[in-house]
Amino acid sequence: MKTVKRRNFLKIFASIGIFGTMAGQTAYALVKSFFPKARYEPPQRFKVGSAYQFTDGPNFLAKHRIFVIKEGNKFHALSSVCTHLGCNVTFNKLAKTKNVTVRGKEIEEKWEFNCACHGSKFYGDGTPYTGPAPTPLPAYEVSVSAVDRKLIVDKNIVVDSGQRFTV
Amino acid sequence: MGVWNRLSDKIVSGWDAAASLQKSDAIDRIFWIHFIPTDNDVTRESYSIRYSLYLGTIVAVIFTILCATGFMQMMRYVPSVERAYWSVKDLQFIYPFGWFIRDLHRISAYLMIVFVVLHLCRTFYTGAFKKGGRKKTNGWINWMTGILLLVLTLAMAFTGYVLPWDQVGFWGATIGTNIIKSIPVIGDWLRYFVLGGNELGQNFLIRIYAVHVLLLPLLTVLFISYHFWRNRKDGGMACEDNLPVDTAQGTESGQTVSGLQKDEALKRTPMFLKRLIWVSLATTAFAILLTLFVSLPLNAPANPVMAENPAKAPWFLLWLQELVASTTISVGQYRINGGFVGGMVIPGLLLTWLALVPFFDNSPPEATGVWFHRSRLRQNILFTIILLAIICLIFFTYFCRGPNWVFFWPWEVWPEVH
Ligand code: FES
Repeated sequence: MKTVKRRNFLKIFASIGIFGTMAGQTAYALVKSFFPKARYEPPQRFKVGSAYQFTDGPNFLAKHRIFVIKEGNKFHALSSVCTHLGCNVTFNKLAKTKNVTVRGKEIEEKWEFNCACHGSKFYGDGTPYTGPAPTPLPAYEVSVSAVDRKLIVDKNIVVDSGQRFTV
Repeated sequence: MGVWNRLSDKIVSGWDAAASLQKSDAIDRIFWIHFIPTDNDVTRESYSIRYSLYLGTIVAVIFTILCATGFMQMMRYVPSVERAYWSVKDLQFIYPFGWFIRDLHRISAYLMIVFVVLHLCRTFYTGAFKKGGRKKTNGWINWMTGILLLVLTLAMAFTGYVLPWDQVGFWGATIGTNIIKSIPVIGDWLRYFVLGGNELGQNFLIRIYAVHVLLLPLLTVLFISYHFWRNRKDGGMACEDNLPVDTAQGTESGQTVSGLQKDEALKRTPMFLKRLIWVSLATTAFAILLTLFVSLPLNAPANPVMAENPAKAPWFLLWLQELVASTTISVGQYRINGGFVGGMVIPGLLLTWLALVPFFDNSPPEATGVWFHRSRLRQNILFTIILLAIICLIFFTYFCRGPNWVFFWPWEVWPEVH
């Protein structure tokens, strides 16, 4: 077996240390420079308007790519971004209501969501039933502003699709 | 640093620095002449159109056209989300002959894909990556370089069609970047890295632009040069391998490797040059003719909330689109996104298989540089099946997918949507 002298070992150790650190710093700075510190995009938490401005059923908000869904005085928000590969789903009013069993629960639905890109279809609560979409459309938290009583949707907080916000 | 030395030796194997200096013909050291064989080790067989079909040359010529037309477009295109589409429209309608530049660029891009694939087929069916009877040949290096060039070609095509920021480009980019997102664990981070944000916007467009006009072409030029040079250092086309070679590279006796007299062999260079010129002219003429007769209309401007229905990718990606649309699978309670299976795993496996082919090929040396050699029958059949499957998928998706990605026969009329 070849033995390494202490001096050589230290030399190798030191040069790996020095050059390694330099390379590491460069790589870190290089990667980091691709992430802007501010984004000129719509915010993740935003006001969507007063409750009375919405019509019953899904209301599509193009800027934020969500549906704000009104059922009487109950509200919830669903993402309109297909969970397959990110196309925009459209809602489809059903001519007559349909009873479906979703995750063991029987629900009555008045609309469904369709994705044009590869034909995924979602039940009214966002659960996919045909096509390649792997997961349900996420539901986001809805709250109300204490200042001007406008509804607020927070895309950072995903909630259960059964949750409703009552005004 | 033994590993480093061994690796760099491998990369330039076949090149002898001392011998290169000593070479009596000065022209041999000139770059261009380096690509065109003037050495005495070229046989008539390796010029033969019947053997190589000059597909690699054709690709190089098309790439040159792409560089020229691309440069012309750079002076008119504005890589900004608001103006990109309109600057392309200006190019098409306002600048005299702008349509010609743009269409020639697009047609050439399509042709480049076609000819790169044909070149791959030629190399595969002739077993040109094999070592054959030669000692100092590393055909597999060039084979791998070729696969890299195939990937680069597709990457250039993909980034190129995002740039006009029209419906096809925008939704293609959406789907493409979401395929990145579907990679487990690092997907979200990687997409954010590529986009420079959460949404497709200015950051993404300008990145794609820089990659398309500088990084990818530069890499392509580098690897094409290496591809040529390697071919020369491997002793030219693989087809010579089947000739009886007694004198290894030695030209002292006035005999060349191919067994010809030195002077006789040297006279060949003009012949090769002539062929190169003919192939270049014919390729250019073909691309221009196609441009004049095939019109490629511009799409509608990008609409970030409404994709076209059906939203189809350009033809060379249609097979992937069909795969991502139908390979979502469930493993136990987990659902794996088809974007990952069809967009990453399957193409990745195909490329890996291609790259490893030279190492698992155990056909005899006589099969080197011979079209459809009997001993390689099984490989050839497998290759053909995969190729046909991809082509069939492309045709299927092109003709049989209608609104909402529903199956239609090509002669059926699509229902109204939206
Ligand atoms: S993006 Fe919706 S089905 Fe593929």
